[in-house]
Amino acid sequence: MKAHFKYLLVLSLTVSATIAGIAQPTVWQKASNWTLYNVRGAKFYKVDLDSLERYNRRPLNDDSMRSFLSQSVELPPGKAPMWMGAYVSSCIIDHKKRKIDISSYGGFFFDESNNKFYSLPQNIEKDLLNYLADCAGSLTTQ
Amino acid sequence: MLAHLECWFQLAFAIILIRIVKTILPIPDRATLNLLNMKHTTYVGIAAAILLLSQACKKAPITSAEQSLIQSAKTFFEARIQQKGPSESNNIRITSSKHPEWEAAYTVATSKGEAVVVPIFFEKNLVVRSSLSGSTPLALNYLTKLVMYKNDSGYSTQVTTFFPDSTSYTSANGQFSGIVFNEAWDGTPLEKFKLTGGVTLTETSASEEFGTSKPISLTGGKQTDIIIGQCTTIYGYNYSSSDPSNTYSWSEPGGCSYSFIPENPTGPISSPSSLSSIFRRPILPPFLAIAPPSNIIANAQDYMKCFSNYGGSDHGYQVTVCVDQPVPGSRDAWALTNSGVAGSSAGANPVDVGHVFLILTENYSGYSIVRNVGFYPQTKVYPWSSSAQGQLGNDDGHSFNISLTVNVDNGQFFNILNYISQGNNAGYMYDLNTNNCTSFAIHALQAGNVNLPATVGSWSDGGFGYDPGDLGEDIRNMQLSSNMTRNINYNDHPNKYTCN
Repeated sequence: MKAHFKYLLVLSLTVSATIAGIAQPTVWQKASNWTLYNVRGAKFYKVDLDSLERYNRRPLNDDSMRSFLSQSVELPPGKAPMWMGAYVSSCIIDHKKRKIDISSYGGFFFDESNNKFYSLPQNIEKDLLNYLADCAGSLTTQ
Repeated sequence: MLAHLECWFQLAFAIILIRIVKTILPIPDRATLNLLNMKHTTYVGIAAAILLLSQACKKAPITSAEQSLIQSAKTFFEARIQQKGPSESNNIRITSSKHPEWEAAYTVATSKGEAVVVPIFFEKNLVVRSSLSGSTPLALNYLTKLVMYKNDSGYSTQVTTFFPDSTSYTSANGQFSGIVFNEAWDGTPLEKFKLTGGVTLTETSASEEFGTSKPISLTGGKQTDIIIGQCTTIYGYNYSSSDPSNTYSWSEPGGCSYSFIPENPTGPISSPSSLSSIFRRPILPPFLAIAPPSNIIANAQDYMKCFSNYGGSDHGYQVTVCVDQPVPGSRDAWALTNSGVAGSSAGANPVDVGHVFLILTENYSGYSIVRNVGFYPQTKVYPWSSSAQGQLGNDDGHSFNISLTVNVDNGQFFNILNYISQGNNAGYMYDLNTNNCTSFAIHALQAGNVNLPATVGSWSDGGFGYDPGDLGEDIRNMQLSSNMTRNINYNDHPNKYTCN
């Protein structure tokens, strides 16, 4: 009986670990309340999470964002691309708001909550940037 | 009021020209038209002549009183007229969906008082010829106006359609000559006029063929039969490049017999000079709308095709160099992003290199065509891997902290556009040192004979080149010429207008 219990425990831990491993890249599938901000005129990285509310903003479509980011891949540490400008957005994951900077070129974005870069396939990058540009077009500076 | 005439010929007819080249052939002597076998050069010549003839016009700004009148007419139209659908008719011109373009409205003095004239745009590209106009095809969108003037019950409203004859565009005094239809908004015919040599002829609804039209074919392609008659006949067809199977044509009489009448006919717009004032083409082509922005510019030529290349004072051209310095107000070529989350090595987020982009603007008759464009690498670049295929991007949402606007002429402007258009070429590389966004902008302006001071900066890994930090400070410190303005405050700079 003890041996069976041990076996089940190991099995369940293995399954849990596997699930956790699979789920990790899809953290963006849990993100909701996506919001785009107009911080134009300010350096995007100098606007902290708490001050985002001061800027003009509009919601992004959660389903669209989940779709765009579903194929994102975390970049290895120390492989940070150059910034040449970014869209500033936020989302909520596990009840916590995160600031996400989405580069205006190159198909990468930065999660400020964990200092991690993520990369997108080129075909997704195009669609995402066009979508963001479309949404940003209706955002005037406040 | 003649001073109020606007010189919008060029842009509208450039578009017509494109459509001509795409779609139409000259009127043949026989009864069959093959729309695919046009003689392009004939139409290029005609359109070029029209463009040359239209250089001398000037525009006066719309006054607040005129604005008020236009707004009042618009309110009346939307409350009382707009909802009336087209009358029963087999005339495609009557039954096609249309709308007045209020942003292009203007006023003219008529014998009935100040009239509001609003270009009417059809949802489909209806093109017409008349047997008076020779082989010149004309887009109905440029010929049709909503005309409103005040009366006891509010406003008298009519739709006036102008079919210029072959001499209309060569008239030395700018007088319209050709056929004019007056109709109610629902298409009910009211009157027809023929203006020629300063004389007005008219045909009333009592005429035998008045208001009649007949479909001449409903073909599935671009070939159709057209009846060539001795009388004035309006021939029209719809062309849709995206849906060629939906091409159709029609004809309607422009009037066969006219009787001379006094120069003050019963129509609300009485004199030929009034009609000539009304007959102004819209300021911008009807299919222009606010551009849906996109970030990546897939096709540079397509992105910038709305710009028109015309000399003279009617079209103004500007190029604005916008600089997003890594450290605003500093020559620093790069900056570590903030400390903490986005900062430094701890944030694995080392370098902001800033950005430079251009805003290209054509101003015309109170309207602006605006395109933002910047040069990027197509893929990520790193301090240790600084080169990649080039890619043009729409920067209408990009930040900047200093900019320089340069007024240029059309030749300079189009030289700059030509330079920019290479940015997407395969093999045209972005390089952080030798061909970055700053050098691209500087060289683009040089192509237009605009030379900016260009300090070469350097960075910690030994690289060097033009950079936003130095360019921003160069602009801040430069002596401005009379055609330049400097701006140190951010303002929104969205793209404006697109065209098919």
